[in-house]
Amino acid sequence: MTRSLVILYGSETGCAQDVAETLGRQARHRHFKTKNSLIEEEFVIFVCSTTGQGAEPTNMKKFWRFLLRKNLPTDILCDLNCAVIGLGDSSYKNLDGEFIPWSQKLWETVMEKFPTDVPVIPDDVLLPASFRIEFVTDKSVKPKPQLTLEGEFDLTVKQNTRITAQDHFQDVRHVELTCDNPDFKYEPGDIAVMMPQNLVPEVEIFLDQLGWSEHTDKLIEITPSSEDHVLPHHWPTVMTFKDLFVYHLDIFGVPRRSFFEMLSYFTTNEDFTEKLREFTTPQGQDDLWSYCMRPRRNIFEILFDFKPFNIPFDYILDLFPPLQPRSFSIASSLNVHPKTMELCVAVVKYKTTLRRIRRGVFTKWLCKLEQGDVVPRVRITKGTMTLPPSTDIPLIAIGPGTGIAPMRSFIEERIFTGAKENVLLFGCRYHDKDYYYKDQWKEYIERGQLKVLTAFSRDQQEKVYVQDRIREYASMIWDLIDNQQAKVVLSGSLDKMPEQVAYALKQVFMSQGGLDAEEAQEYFNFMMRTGQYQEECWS
Amino acid sequence: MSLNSFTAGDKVLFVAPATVDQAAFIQVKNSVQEQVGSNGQTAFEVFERVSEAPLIKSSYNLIYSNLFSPSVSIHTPSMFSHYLTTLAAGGRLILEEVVLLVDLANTICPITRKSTDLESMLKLAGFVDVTVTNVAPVSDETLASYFRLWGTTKIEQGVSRLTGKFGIAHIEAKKPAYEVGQKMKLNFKKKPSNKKAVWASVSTDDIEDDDLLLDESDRVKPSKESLARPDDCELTEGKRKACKNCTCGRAEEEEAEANGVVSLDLMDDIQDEIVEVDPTPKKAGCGSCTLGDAFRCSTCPYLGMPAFTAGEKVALGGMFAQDDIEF
Repeated sequence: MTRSLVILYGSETGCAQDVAETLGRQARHRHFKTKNSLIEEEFVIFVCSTTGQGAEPTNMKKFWRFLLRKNLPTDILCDLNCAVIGLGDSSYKNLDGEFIPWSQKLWETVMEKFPTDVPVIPDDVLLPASFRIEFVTDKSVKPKPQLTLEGEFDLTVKQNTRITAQDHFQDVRHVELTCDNPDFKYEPGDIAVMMPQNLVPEVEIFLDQLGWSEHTDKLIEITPSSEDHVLPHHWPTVMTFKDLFVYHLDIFGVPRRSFFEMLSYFTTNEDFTEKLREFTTPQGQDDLWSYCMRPRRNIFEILFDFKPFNIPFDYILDLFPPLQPRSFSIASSLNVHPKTMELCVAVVKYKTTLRRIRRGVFTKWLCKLEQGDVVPRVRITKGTMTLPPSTDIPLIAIGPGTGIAPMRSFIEERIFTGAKENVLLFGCRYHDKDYYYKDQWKEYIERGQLKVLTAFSRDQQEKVYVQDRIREYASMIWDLIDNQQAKVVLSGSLDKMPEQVAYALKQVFMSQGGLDAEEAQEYFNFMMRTGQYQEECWS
Repeated sequence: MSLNSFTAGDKVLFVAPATVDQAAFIQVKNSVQEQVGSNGQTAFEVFERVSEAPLIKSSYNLIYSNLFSPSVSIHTPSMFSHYLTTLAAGGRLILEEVVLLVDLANTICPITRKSTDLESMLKLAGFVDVTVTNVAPVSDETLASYFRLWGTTKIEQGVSRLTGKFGIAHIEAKKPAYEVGQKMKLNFKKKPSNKKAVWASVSTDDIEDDDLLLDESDRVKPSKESLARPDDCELTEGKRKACKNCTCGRAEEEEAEANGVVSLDLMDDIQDEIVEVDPTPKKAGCGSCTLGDAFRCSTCPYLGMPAFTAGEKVALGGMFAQDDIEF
């Protein structure tokens, strides 16, 4: 036993990644070497989240598909010691309450199976830093640019316009981005993955509060301290100190438990250190939730509450989590808008018990983008929805609110390729305030290429939603689905809407198709299994 | 509630809200206990806790849910799912629930369903022989007691506005006389013939159906309640609700959505607050006001503000003064 283990994580929003890194640290306390990547090993820990309706995260899809292959030999993994933890999705609130006892049991079992004479490093002992950060003294060295890797594209902003009425409470943007690179391609239903940036003036205030202002424009070089650690591929090895916080570290995000664990090594007030340690225990999870996750308190605010502290530069990458990319369904068809990608994005802005308004890290930056600005390193990934297999098959697109984005890409493409039977079900709050793209739909309707059923929930006394329209047009919908084999796609917010829509569809199956509840459910299951019904919803 | 049709050996589960009249309930329970005898069983569960109660599979043949009036409790799909699991094959569920008799023009009302909606819900949960045996109109007196249960103060007004709009639906349903996992031929009225050829031809032969890797116990969904963070009080096992004249902020918290977020359209004032607060920490209480929310007690007037130094004017903490940094 070489005392090395591999931790594989399936992570959509960074949660499983964070858990994997925590396990990595726990493993190193117990003298294991760790790698967070896929190699032939004897001991593997799988950390797995779910996304959407319980599907596997994107970065795990290929591996999961591989495991499901019927032609795999049944003994392929018989020499492997493995542990698995399933984390649910980011809406699961009591993760740490469950993770901590599980990890304790895990290590008990592991240490029995793989004992070592070397004493386990206690939890309150700080491990060596994963990276070295040194100021560059050689005047000839210049900062290196970020690497745009293969499959990534730098896009230029053509337009960034608010498409909700000025007096509407929500700011939703229609963003158009262009790319001259001939390799830039995407298909309807695809997703744009984009990395946010922090705003420079805010970063400067952050550096000031930490007493690091004097280093703002100095060049730093980052090197891993051992082969176990790897810098993300696109990070330049030489950059300004400030750029580390503008482009790469999530200093204004809501941290996970591991941040508190690390910060406790650096606070100088003993009471504060104790409090931070408490936040990492099972008994402290409720308090941690109340203090941090529920009000969405961010790292900067937390640091301010726990001053004074002394953070060695080398530990910056161990303490501050990396910025995570955000995914957006592309709202356009490349055939209709050559060299262009369009997005429909709701600006995240809300209030919690904290006095200061919460703003989304990505949309805070997005709002500032102007024509000519460059959005670097955009990646295109496949979504879960695809167009019907032929233009003869009708499409029923259900996309309330910003769920309209992928629906617009489908509809534009369908009309471009001559598919005539297209039905859009769109719901929002007010006809006059947030009915996105209504002029575009009007054109299509007049040309007989699109039928639109709308539900404006607040334009009248009683609430009306897309699911109500489904019931109202039951016979048309049944005819499309059962006789004409229409494909149904659904996108939008994850709360109750997908459930309500599924329920309404099943009611249609029962009332129009004469099915009973069981049969209606089986009918729906069939649609899901075969891809006749697909959905992509987000929280 | 008349219950005189129990047989010896019956295993009965009663579910009622915590507000049920204890005396009436005990009377019924004892009478039923006599009828089912020593081989039978009577059990009780609090309505609000059904979703997270450890009910054993197939352990009851009768469930009486929410039969004590007045009650404004609403069954959830999750509860029906639990009932189905805990009933034995062929077992019966008898329930009552307040329903709307007519559509309400004004939708600010906790009751939103009609008896037909409940019927559908039960069928979709897997119950068969679902019958609405009766919908009894709700008298003004009972309606008034509903308002009291909802905790509203303007009872007379409420009654005159909503009189005659509610009924109590009495519904019976059965768990199918087979256990999940048994093979059962599904009787499609329409054969899924070549009409579905387009979709049926989608080939997934080279890959296992990962749904088939799950067995029945894997499919039991945890209730939303069991996944949510438990309420922060060791003294009460259940939830702690805000007081009527809440001054500590709990009432506002409860108004916000379950995850503590208030969407902006519910707020009058979207402007960021610049609050000048008296920096003298109050003597009463924990005295940790200056230390930041991590140390403050739940009644601290400074909750939601950053840490500060005593004596300094707190304008949301210096550089937090503006939400947007305007340059």
